Amino acid sequence: MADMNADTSAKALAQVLAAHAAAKWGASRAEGLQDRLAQTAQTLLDLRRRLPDAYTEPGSYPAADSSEPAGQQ
Amino acid sequence: MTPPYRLGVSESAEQIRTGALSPVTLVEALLGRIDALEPALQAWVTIDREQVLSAARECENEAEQRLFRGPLHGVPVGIKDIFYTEGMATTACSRILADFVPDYDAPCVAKLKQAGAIVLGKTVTTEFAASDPPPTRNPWDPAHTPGGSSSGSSVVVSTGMCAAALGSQTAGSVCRPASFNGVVGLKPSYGRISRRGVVAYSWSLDTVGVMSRSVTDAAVMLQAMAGHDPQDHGSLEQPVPDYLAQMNAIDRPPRIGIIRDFFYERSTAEVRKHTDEAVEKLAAAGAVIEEISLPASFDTAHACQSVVSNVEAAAFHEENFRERADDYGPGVRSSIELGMLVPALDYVQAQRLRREFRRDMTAALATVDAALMPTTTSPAPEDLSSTGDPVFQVPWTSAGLPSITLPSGLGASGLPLGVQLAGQPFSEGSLLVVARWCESVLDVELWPPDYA
Repeated sequence: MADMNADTSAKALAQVLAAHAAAKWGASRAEGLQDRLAQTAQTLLDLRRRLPDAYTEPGSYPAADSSEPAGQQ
Repeated sequence: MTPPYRLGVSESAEQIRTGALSPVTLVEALLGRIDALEPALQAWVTIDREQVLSAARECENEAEQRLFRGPLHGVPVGIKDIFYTEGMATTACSRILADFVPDYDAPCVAKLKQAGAIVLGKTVTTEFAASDPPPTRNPWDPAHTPGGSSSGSSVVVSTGMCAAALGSQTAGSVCRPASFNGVVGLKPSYGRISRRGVVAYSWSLDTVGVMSRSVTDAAVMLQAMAGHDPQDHGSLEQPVPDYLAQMNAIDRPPRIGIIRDFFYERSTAEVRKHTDEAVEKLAAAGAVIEEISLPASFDTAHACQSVVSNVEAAAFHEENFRERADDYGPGVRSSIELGMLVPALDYVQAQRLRREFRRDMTAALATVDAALMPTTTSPAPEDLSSTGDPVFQVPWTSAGLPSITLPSGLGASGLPLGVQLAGQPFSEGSLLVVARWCESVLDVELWPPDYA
């Protein structure tokens, strides 16, 4: 699986993603995805550098009784 | 006398109730209009004339006996082709579902029928409500995109082929095409309308919405569909207020928060000037205008939406994709592939960041009745290879907050522009109040010149 290190460069992460793509669908398909793989790598790095505090749970579903988000229902 | 195709939902329903308009006459008028316009606009996937006329005759018989199913009795509506319709093909405009005929109505469709609406037909969506451009043409200028993914629903409403239609928004698929075609688009809070029986793209983002030609009509449609569905895990047990009563009880001009950060930076000079002029009109009419600053977590909203939607699309399509990857369009195919490559940790972190953004954005809106910003960066672009940029819708979809777009005028190119309002979770009532107030002040009703 792709390197999770936030210090990884976008280029390096894109290469990891491309290698996975090539393994799954072949080199030609991975080549066709190159631009979007680069965008995805940058997106992932941007998010890894802005992680919330450790007590924020995942889940996008809002709580029924407040405007505060809560876990999936 | 107003021709039937120019009547809104509320006007049609009222005329049917008083006996001034027959549901059969209305349906026949709309079918005739569809015959005339569809070859140029390509906004419909399926229309079952026999079924539509049969439903209209039933409504007419009931109306003659003063029996009314509900507030939409006899009113034809369009349904985006990702909503299950019993006995009627639901293809998502894809090869994968080309032969799929559901054996039940999506609950939101069933609720519309219970309220008396007639399903006029299924409207064109981009394939699986993703990004591949549709065959549908923009009635304002066929060289410009109609937007997507709810392309057909926006076009049929803007040209009077029906008064309201269902759409859905995962990124910007209700408000963006609505604005590109000069109509009202309402995206309620995530969880307000059941998504069961709606072909999924991204479970935690997909939101059912409405296109109409007035805010009141959007409220009527929302009223019919809103409510908890225990079989939809994203549906919430929130009370559903009487939206029309709330809209009629307005007793003061609203407090509106203009968001210039980001939205003005990404807009053309024309859009910035147009939005400023709209805000000046609202202020002159008594609105209290204040500037709202975006929270720092706004910076993550677009990236989170992208990661989450791709991963969830990959999960939804995994089985079909394994066997039939070549049957997917290029845009949706690459999104699914990218979703399959995203590490699980990144998906979870993106959901955590969405939660943080939702909390921060909700707090930022606490001092106003609604936030206001341009709906799109520009009018519909002259580019049929894409459906335009959803960048101004994505934050509200990602946070699950309600938003609505209103037509606000025309740009120099003669194409529609809009303003978008957004509010706190489950504040559709007050959002609709503000939207109708703005609608009355701006006093803009748009019809494409060739289809008026």
